[in-house]
Amino acid sequence: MGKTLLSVKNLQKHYPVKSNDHLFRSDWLKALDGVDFEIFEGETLGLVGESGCGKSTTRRMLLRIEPPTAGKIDYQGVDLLHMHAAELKAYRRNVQMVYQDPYSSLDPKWKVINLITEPLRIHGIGTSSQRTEKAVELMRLVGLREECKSAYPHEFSGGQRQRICIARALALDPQIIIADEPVSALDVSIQAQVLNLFKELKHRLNLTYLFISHDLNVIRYISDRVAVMYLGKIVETATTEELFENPLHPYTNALLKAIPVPNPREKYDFKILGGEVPSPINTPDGCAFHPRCEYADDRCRSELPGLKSITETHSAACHLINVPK
Amino acid sequence: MDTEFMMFIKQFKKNRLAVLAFFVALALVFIALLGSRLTAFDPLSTNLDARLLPGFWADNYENMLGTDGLGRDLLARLLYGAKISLKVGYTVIIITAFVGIILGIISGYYGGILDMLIMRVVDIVLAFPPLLLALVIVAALGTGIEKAMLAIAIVYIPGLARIVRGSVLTVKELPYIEATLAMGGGHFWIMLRHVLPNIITPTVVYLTLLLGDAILYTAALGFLGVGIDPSIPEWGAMLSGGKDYLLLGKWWVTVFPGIMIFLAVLSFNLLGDGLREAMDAKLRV
Repeated sequence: MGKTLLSVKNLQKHYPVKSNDHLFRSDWLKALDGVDFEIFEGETLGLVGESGCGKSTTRRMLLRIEPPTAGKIDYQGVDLLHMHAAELKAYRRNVQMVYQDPYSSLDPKWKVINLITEPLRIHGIGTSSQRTEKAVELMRLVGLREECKSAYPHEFSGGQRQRICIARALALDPQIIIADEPVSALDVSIQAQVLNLFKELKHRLNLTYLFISHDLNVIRYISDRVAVMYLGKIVETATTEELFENPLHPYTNALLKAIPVPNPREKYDFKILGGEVPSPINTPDGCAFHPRCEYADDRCRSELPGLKSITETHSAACHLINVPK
Repeated sequence: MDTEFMMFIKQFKKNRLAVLAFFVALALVFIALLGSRLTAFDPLSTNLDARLLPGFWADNYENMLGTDGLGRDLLARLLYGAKISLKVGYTVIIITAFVGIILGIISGYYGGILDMLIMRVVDIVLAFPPLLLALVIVAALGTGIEKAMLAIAIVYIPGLARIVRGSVLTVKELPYIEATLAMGGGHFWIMLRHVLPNIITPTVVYLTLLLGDAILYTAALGFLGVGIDPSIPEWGAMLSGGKDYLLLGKWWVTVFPGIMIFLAVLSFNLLGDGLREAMDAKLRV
């Protein structure tokens, strides 16, 4: 495992929402309620969770699109929240983003070549002809034909557009790429192609990924380590193998059981998680998962479990797991 | 860049009507520039013996389009009027576009207190009846063609700012804006290169409808005695001044200025349509 590139500590983001029964008071929607994780150099960290659990809010915090309510994000020892303009620009050069929807994450009025050179222009790198050269090189790298460079995004299919987005993200030779559900808007056959492209690029360019997804199969395929999120908190982190072989947190367990098995004859233990995700405005006391957990006891209803290290690479936030001494 | 321009021309040529409109607009601009040299008549000199003479259809080949109620040659007035009317129309459009787009983008993009401030001022301006507002502004600034243009522009700026703001609100939530921000693009970069190109369609539509309004408003202000001196030939003023003679059957006094305004407005609208289509990559085939 390499050195820590990005470390997130107790990250919180609360949004005010209008209260129903008070005219002047607002309730707080706790989109993130204490998120901790670390990204090590050269790894792929998969961030997985249901919709609404705060995956995309985490992304927005990491890119500093919005400031968090509390918490700390360290990038190579520098606090992201106290960076001044020049440092932030350098950070944004090193951390790039690939979005979920390749249809709306590319400006429809821009030609492909300009879209790919845009990050270079923003950071004032190279001359115009050098930038074009670099862009053509990147297009080849992600598997786009050079002839397409004067085309507009609407002339491409979803998979090709996602390749354009990837080329854009690679333009600045970043260290980290944050990919927010980059394949969930694509057809299954295209998903595999794009995932393989991600894998291949990682090896060739020595990249680090934060891969956000709700699709466990995708996460299993691409990640080295997985962090499971539930209602604004990380409930379990482990290496991919450990997590899928030996899930500790009851929520992770339930998630893994919900993966459909593509075999009609296989006996299927159809135990679907009961209840619904509680509202992030009115989070339950104690463990956020206790209303849906079949093992919950009194302690779970009153006391918030912290993230405990079980082994060196495996930690979970649950009272019922015993830490081996 | 060269090929981009060629593609633009190619696409523009496909819209025959727009090409025609382009040449009509060009012809009007020529008339505006050379108008005074194309006629021997003085557009201001009155001749009470030659009032309301019909034109070539009544074999009057001296005053081709007839004369108006004070015996002034209509053709000469139309040619001279082109300069003033087009100047007023285009200047109003340029001022409105410039100020309206800037206000709308700032308001929509930044939101918050700035948005609140700009939009409330817009509301206040919109609350006045347009003509009354223009009158008040001209009355405050003093009469004259420049002041009239400014007054008319001020009347139209709020509407445009509103439309622009609305479009900006939709555009700024799209992921490509966040994407640009995340890769280090500044707000100015985003507003100029991502927001502006994506709001241009409704803006152009609004502006192309403005030319005719601007010409007619100038006439209205002139009619009320606060815009341009009524003796100065201006299409809108000629149109409204001639309407009294319609009942007497002297149609040419109003019809010819009307045709000129019609040509100016229609050519500008069609031209705007064609430009918008040619600029929009999605419509290119």
